[in-house]
Amino acid sequence: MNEMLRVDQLQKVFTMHQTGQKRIVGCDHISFSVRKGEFLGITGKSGAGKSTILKCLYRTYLPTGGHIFYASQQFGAIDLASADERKIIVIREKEISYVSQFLNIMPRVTALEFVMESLLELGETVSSAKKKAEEMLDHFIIPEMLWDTFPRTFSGGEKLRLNLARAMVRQSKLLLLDEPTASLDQASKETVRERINELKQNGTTMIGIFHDLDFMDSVVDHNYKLESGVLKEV
Amino acid sequence: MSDLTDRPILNVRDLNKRFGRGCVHCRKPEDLPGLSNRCPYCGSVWACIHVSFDLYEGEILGIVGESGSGKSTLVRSLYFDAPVTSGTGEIASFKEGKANIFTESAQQKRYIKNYLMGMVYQNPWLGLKMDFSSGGNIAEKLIAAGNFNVHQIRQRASKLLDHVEIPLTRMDEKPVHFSGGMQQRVQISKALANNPSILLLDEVTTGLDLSVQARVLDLIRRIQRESHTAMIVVSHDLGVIRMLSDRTIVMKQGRFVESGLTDQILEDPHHPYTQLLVQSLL
Ligand SMILES: Nc1ncnc2c1ncn2[C@@H]1O[C@H](COP(=O)(O)OP(=O)(O)OP(=O)(O)O)[C@@H](O)[C@H]1O
Ligand SMILES: Nc1ncnc2c1ncn2[C@@H]1O[C@H](COP(=O)(O)OP(=O)(O)OP(=O)(O)O)[C@@H](O)[C@H]1O
Ligand SMILES: [Mg+2]
Ligand SMILES: [Mg+2]
Ligand SMILES: [Zn+2]
Repeated sequence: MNEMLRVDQLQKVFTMHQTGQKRIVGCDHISFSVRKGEFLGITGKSGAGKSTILKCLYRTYLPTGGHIFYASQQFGAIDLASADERKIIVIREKEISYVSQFLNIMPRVTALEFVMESLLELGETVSSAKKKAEEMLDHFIIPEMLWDTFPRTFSGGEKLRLNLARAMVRQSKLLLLDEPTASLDQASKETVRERINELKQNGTTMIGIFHDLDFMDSVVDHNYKLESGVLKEV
Repeated sequence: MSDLTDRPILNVRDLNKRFGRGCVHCRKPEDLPGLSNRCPYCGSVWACIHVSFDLYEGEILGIVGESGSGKSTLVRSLYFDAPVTSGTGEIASFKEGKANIFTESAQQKRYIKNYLMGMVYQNPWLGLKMDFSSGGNIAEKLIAAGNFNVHQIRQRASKLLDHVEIPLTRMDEKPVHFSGGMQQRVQISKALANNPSILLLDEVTTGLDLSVQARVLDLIRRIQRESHTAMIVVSHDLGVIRMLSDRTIVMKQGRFVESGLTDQILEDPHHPYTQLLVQSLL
């Protein structure tokens, strides 16, 4: 039907060669599905494996078992767990965005360019990308005087908001959010909620990890809990 | 922009390179005793062993590995600086990708270098004629690529130097008097002179101080954004690779030990050597 993503028995086991081939289970037997336009929220204790699941979906981690069926616009039904790297690169460019729990290394481009890049990758013109990027920076309350500076000197909250602006300036098919409100004040959280609702209205499917349960309840359609390695809807 | 309907613009299969004349113990890389790529009997080195990869349009492919792992040998083999021992290489825009570039005539190899490739050497003395002016170095590459109009050559040379932020007032100076970072930038503009479809960059930031390194990396990113030139970036520095490349190959003792999306190599390395390398970065 309208299934956007179906995760089937996802497993990620890390083998640490530096410490005597130690095996660490990131997640195992994880199954769930998300329909187009839905928001699925995940909670769970620290170390439960929430980020691991998200990173497998984005293929920063290469799954060691299971499938991640995704309805790609470019390629049709595709298993992200085993898809060719080149296809993953295109899907990241065009369809799936990801905001990591810990900030990516900051690029050596200005904040405005950083947000614009996200739209230029989709083929937007420079002038339209600039306009939308400015609106988004404004929406996430990033002071205008910072727009043409390099983000490496930004505060923690500013960096997070900038990453959110980059991921949310576009209408992604699938948006993965790992603790998107972790270090934000109430006013900033409000701007995130507004943008999430806009994206949802326009059909973006989302999966988010939250510690802030009140915030999560106010945006998600389904609430999942990862407990003792088992992911269940609550 | 990546277009998957495209074939790779370069594909290399089973490239092997041995330095030294070899003996009965090292005729093939498999004959070598132990894990080393150096023959204990005759001292020959298999610097590249069964190297295979594809390079796609517009992508930056990173190659990382410790000193002596064969990175420079690989890119210098692609640039025909030394003949390979065996292997095939095909370039989509050369004879419709149906010829093995490594077995072409010297004249055809010159054509490929002059028209299709650019190279930035680890050592600027290999890439530049130090007793020519900077403009002259670029002119040389332009002439080799079939441009003979003196006025146009000068115009293009000044544009290229401007692009890498070398003041035009210094166009007629010899690079021997330039700083290391400036020499690398002149090398980059020379390498770009013929609008190559493949740009090879060997340790383009080593030996430069940190602020200059950053500017050279910025320049490479800018070039990639603006021209979508496919690049192979070689570095022993994972930080450089992280900044530049989409996909990364890890090399050790002449062999590819792991390859993957750059963020996957960094966050989920599989091979013991890659895990060690990544640990030393963090
Ligand atoms: N790259 C990695 N290498 C080795 N082990 C890892 C890696 N990433 C995660 N793990 C392990 O997998 C388990 C799950 O980690 P994960 O980051 O998914 O937890 P989490 O639920 O997101 O926790 P938190 O709420 O603290 O962010 C942990 O035991 C962690 O140590
Ligand atoms: N011309 C040559 N003659 C003999 N051996 C060579 C020659 N060039 C390279 N080698 C050997 O081949 C191996 C690979 O060398 P190469 O220069 O490709 O390494 P690299 O990975 O670029 O190292 P670095 O990071 O130090 O630049 C080394 O063992 C080196 O000693
Ligand atoms: Mg986490
Ligand atoms: Mg080298
Ligand atoms: Zn030998």
